Amino acid sequence: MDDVELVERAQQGDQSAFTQLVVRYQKVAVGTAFAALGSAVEADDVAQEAFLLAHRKLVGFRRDASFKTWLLTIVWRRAFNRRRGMAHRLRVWLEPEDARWSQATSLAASTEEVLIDRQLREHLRRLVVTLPPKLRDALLVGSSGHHTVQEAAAILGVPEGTVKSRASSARRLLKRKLAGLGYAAR
Amino acid sequence: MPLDDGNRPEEMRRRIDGAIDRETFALLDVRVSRDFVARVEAAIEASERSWSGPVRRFALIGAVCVLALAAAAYYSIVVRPSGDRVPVLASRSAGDTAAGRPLSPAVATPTPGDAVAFVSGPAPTRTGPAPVSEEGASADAAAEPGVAVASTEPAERLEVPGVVIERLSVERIQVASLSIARLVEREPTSAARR
Repeated sequence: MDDVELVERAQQGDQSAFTQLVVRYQKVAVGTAFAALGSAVEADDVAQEAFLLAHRKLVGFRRDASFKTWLLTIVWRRAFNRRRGMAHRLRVWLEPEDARWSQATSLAASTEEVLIDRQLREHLRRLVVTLPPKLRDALLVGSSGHHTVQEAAAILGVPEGTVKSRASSARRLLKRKLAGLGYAAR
Repeated sequence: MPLDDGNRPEEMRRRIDGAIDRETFALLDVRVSRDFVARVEAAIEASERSWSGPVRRFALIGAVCVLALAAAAYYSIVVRPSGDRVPVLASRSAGDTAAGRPLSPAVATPTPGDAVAFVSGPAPTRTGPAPVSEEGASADAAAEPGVAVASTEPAERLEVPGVVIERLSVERIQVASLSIARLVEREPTSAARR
């Protein structure tokens, strides 16, 4: 069953249809919240709150955008608000950045793992974490492969061109920092 | 550094680009707890329970009461006074006060920085130390729609018993004038009737 049908049924009060939407988008919702917060625990909380809010607002959802984009916009807004809140700031202050960002991410070895320099990945992760938030948001949401640029623009609430330019600036910055670590192509 | 062999910059560039792509993807490829869906369902159920039956009814009644109170307060504070009052615009400078001259109507265009007094209330029979005749000149001023009055004195100095004086900023003068124009149309002052 596609999203449109599930949304219609959920709007008519079919709880199981909404549950199917939760099952379908739980991962991407938590991932998007994680991009803003860098904490698996907080991302989980925010995604749950966002689903609850989406359920309440579903009757008013007019399908101007896809359900996924609409949901992720809610997720991002809540995550962004939390990022600005005192509790999150305190958490960031108490917990080392590296530790937070590595909590729930998949560092498990894949078939590609043998081809990838592990040290480069570790350096990259550290550098991504230290990017200015606006650039990091655009890089993670807009060019990580999880969302299209159009979706990322809707989620972040900025024009597509801004997403692209920020993501590209983030990449340039990463490469410059990597070059400083000796990874530059001469 | 292991990747920096220096001999194949293109290869290195590709590897770095590829590593960025993979790493950014991996960063968001989070694990979701197994009970996530169950927790969302439970939260929805709890939320629906709390918003159903007596709770919702109570909340709705409360909201209606608050709205009614707010409307009543708005009417009594904002709408009603402007309808009941007979506004009188008058001005007096510090020199007038010193000379004991009466509060007089003055057709003037206030400029930013002027103190502006909007005198309203029942038409005053006296204006404190500076007497004005019954249905005095200040009532005539009120009959002139669009009249704005500036005073170099603080509004408090214009205060007379039974007359409400409000300080207005220059930006609000237009509003005051309009309300006077409306009021004069509906309820002409005795001066206007004459």
